[in-house]
Formats: sequence, structure tokens, C-alpha cells
Amino acid sequence: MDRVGALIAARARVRPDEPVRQVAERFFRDPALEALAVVTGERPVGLVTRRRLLLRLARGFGQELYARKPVTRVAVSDPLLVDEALPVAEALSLALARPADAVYDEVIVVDAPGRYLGLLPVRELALRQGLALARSQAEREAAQARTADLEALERVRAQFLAHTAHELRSPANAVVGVAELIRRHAERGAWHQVAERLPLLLRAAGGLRATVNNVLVLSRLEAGRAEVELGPVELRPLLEDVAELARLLCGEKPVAVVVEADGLPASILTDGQKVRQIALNLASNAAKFTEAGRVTIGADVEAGVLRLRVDDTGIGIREEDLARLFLPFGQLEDARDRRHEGSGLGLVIARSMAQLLGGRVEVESRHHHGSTFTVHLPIQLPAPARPGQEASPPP
Amino acid sequence: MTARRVLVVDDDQIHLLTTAELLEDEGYEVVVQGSPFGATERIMVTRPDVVLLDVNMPALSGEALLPLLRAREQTRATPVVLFSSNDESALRAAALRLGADGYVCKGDLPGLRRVLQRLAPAGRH
Repeated sequence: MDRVGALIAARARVRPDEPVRQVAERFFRDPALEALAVVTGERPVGLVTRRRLLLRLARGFGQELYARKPVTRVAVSDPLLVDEALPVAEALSLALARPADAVYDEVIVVDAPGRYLGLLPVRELALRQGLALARSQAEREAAQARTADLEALERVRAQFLAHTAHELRSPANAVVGVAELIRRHAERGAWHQVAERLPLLLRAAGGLRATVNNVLVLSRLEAGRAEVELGPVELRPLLEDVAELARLLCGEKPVAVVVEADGLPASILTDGQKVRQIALNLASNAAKFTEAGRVTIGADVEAGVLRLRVDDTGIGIREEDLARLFLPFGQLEDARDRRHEGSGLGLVIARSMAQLLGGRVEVESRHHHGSTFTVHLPIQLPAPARPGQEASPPP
Repeated sequence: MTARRVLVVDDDQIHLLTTAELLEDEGYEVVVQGSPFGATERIMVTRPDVVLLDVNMPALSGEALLPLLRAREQTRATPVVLFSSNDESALRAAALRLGADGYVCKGDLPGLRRVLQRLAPAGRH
């Protein structure tokens, strides 16, 4: 908050015994001079303003009556004195509380012991106070905007938590349900029934573990706690491996999963674990949403960029759904519209990981025709071995 | 006394089979339906005493299906219980507002037993 001491505009002063004529001369000489404090022994005892002085002198016999008199005869004898530490707002309200004919008189600023420091026009006080009000308004608005941002973030977080809770609860309930069934069969000694249901229990537990893993991976990524571990990676076997897992996911469906990765460098420098996770998430997504046809996992390296492509002939994505594709649990955004099982975290994780490695994910899709996800990752090639040296360092 | 018949509609295969078996074990006759499409016809053909309807299903959720069942002469009177993995009371209230005869959280076996006891008192016990 501004104090009046910082706003002092003028320090002009006059002694009480100075004749009016001399003081008038000062005002005539200096058009910018608006007021003078009458000061004696550092104490302000009055105020002379241009307006008052000129009015006195202009009246009938003014010159004759006052010219030789001491300035105290035309001065205000009880000017408003304010302490330099007084806040602007308080000084202004004191100034405005004066009688109408004195409202625009300068305010005299004094220090704590009451010594004269300077003059302050009421106009300046009003201006400062207006600025302060405008500033606090702007600050209030900024604070409101901040609050709105925080609330939006909080809503997203709450939604994420609600979805996470649902996604964890479903497989957990399945595990409990199957376990209960098995317990009943076991109680009756129906061991064949027990054995028959164990794979179901494993499947349910596996689903739960996958969701828990995904939630943990994602929260680590979002909290910025994931680390990048660079190392030489052989892409071809990595992609073949991912393709094999995608084939398992396709099960009995007439879907061919193929790898197109010719002409790749023998190895590249990147974080193999993350690249594998990205490829796996995209490929399992493709497998999940493709009822028949083909899932192609492709890769090429050009100008220091690895392009990883997963292409499918699945149901595709409607244009209006593309925007929410990378939202956590985007699939669940509207439960009414949920199409497939799965936590809906795979794509979010793939994109977060790609970003962690300095890359990005692009998606192209036509509803009912299929989707293509392309990951662009900056990579390095391992330092080429010089002739005569070992072809590659031991891993 | 003839066993009461329950139709379970759920796209989650594990949950569908588990619920069916648990209910059979409780003495109900159970019909399963793995997709919301065809659920209406299934009700008309099998004439269950209660329908258990999953909320989260592909393309057509239980919430969306329920009003369709209510709108049809042949399915209007069949009691419908909505169930989901969510146990929020807001959902429970929403389900009842929609005209469901009950709401059960998946995995809440005692709750399921209670609601079936209320709507189709029978079973083995």
C-alpha cells in the first residue's frame, strides 16, 4: 500500500514574515508553483495557494491591503497535516472531508516529530488511489483466473480418480467373484470344477495386474518421475516380439499381424523399454479394435528420427472422438458410449512416453476403415566402429 | 416351487459367467446375454422374473436400454436391476430415478442376494 511520504510533489516553503508582494512574485515567476507551505523552525504553520493568494489580491484594494503584510495574513492557518506514513487512501479521505472551499488545497506532509517534508496535491492523491483500486481489481481478477484453473485441474483429477477407482474395481470384483465360485466348488470337493475355473481366476487377476501397472506407470510419468535409460536397441526383434503379443490378443479373430521393418540399422540408441511399451500399447490397441483384416507394425529410421507406425483395418475413430483419444480413460469419458474393455490408459501412456523421449504421436483415422498411429522419436545411432576394431562393444 | 429365472446382461465375460454361476448356485435359473443388443428379444422369449443389467456396455448402456424396455408392452413389467462397478450413491440414486427396481454394485453378493430376494423371492432357500 502506498504511503503519502512517497508521493511528495513539491517542497516549496515560505517564512511567515515574508511580505505578500514577494510571495506573489514567486507565483508569477513560476507558473508551475501551486502552493507554498508557511514554515517556521521546520514546523508548518500555514498554507498559501496560488488560487487563494490571487483571489485576495484581485479583490478591491487587495494590493493596497495585503502587499506589504506578512504572508500569514493570506495563508490558511489550519492546513491539513498528514504523517508521511499515512496510507494514501486515508489521506485522501481526510482531504475530501474538508469543507468545500478547502477540498482542493494541498496537503502538507510531515514526519513523525511533525517537521515539514513537502506538499501533496489532492489530485495526485486521487490519481494514486484510483491506480491502486485498478491494480487490486486486476489482482483480484488474476486470482480468480488462477482459482478457476485450479478448479478445472481439480475436476480433471477427481474425474481421473473416479475412473481409476472404477477401472480397478471391475477386475478386483471379477477376481473376488471367481474366487468365491472356486471356494464353493472346493467346499463340495468338486475338484474338476475348481480346476476348470482356475484359468478364469488367472485371467481376472491378470487383468487387475495390468490395470494396476498402467495406473502406476502413468502416475510416475505424470509426476515427472520417469527416467530415460538410453542403450543400444535392436529394433527388429523388439517389433517381432510385440507382434507376437498382438497375435495373442487377436486370438481367434481373422486378423494378420505383420511387421514391416526392412532396412533398419542393426541397432539404435534409445530407451528400449519405453519404445517397447509404446509399440505394445499401440499394437494391442489395434488388436483390440480390429475384428478382421490386418495389423501392421512398421518402422523406419530417417535423419535421426525413428518412425514407428501401427496401422490397422479396425473400426477406426470418429472425428469427434479423436480429440479425447489421449485423455486418460478417454474411452470411458462417456460410459454410455464405451465400446471395448481395457482401461483406456494405453494411448495416454504411449504418448507420455513418446514425449519423455522427446517425440510425439500422430493419429490418422477413418471411421469404419481403420487407424494409423505414427510415433516420431529422435534417436542416435551407436558410434560406428572404426575398421580394425571390434564390430560393437559388448553389451 | 419352480426356480426363479434371472437374465444377466453384461458384456464383461468374466463377470457374466461368474454372476451366472453364483446365482445358479443360489438356486436361480440363469440366462446370460453377452451384449445389450438382442436383450429385449431375450426378455420376451425367456420371460425372466428379474433382469440384471450392466451399466457400462458397448454402444448401448444399461441406463440407455432401461427406458427402451420400459417403453415396450412386453418388457414393461419385468423388474430391472442395474449394476456396475461403481458404488457411488449418486449412481444408485440416478438408477432409481431412471425407473430401475434396484441398483447393485458388482461384487456385492449380499446386496445382490437382498435385491433378488425382494424382487423374486425364491431360490433354494
